[in-house]
Amino acid sequence: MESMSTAPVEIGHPETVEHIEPDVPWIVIVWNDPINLMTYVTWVLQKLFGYSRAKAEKLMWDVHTKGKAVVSNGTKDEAERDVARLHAHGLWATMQKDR
Amino acid sequence: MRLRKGPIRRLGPSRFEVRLSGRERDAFRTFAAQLRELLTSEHPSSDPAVARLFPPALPDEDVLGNLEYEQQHGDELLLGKLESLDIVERTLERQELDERELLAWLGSINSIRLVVGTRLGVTEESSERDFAGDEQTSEMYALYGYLTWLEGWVVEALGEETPAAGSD
Repeated sequence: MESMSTAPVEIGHPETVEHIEPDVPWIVIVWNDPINLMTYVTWVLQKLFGYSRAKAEKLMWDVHTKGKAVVSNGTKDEAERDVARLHAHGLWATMQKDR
Repeated sequence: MRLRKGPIRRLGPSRFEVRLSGRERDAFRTFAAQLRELLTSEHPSSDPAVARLFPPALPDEDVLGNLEYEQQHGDELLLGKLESLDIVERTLERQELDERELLAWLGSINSIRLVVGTRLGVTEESSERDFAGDEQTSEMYALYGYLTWLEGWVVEALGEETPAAGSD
């Protein structure tokens, strides 16, 4: 086995280090739309996220009265997967970094 | 306590009764075919009603992110909708559906409703009067109302408890 080089390891420039983002969580937002039924939105939130009826109804009311609600959060990949599942069910959903 | 029977009713863990007239089934077949035509011929960028079925995942200003999302998930979303239509077309005449089939019905009904509602420009304050102008528009709004009624019953049936053995 070759011995390891003792040459000093080159340290990356600080600028390149800044490209590594801290692990910021992402949030998934469902927006109000005038077409989807309130009972349907509640049912979708229960089915996709396993929320209780009460929790799903609360989120649906937030969407309806406040215009939007955060329905889930996680890594970027998890948020993207949730958005795609919501889109597959016709809900108007987006994701963004939770700042 | 149920005061009236709906067109869709749960019979068991994955069994649903469908009570629709031949006319209603014919109408559903027509709209399912129109949705298929729309999905396979139009692109979200060319038709706002199609765009409603494939919304952006990120804020509008993140053009690149939305493009990536569309590349990642666009096909899978489209295939899911086409697969639901396949199941609907196969099971349209049935008096009984299993849960997977009913979910496909629900997906297609919801997609058709989104397209019709977007075309009509439905808002939360909309009423029948707003769409009484010409015959084509009022017919479209009547269809929208029908789909609202039907979808409401499908959601209710899916949420229903499985009837206890022996009960009606």
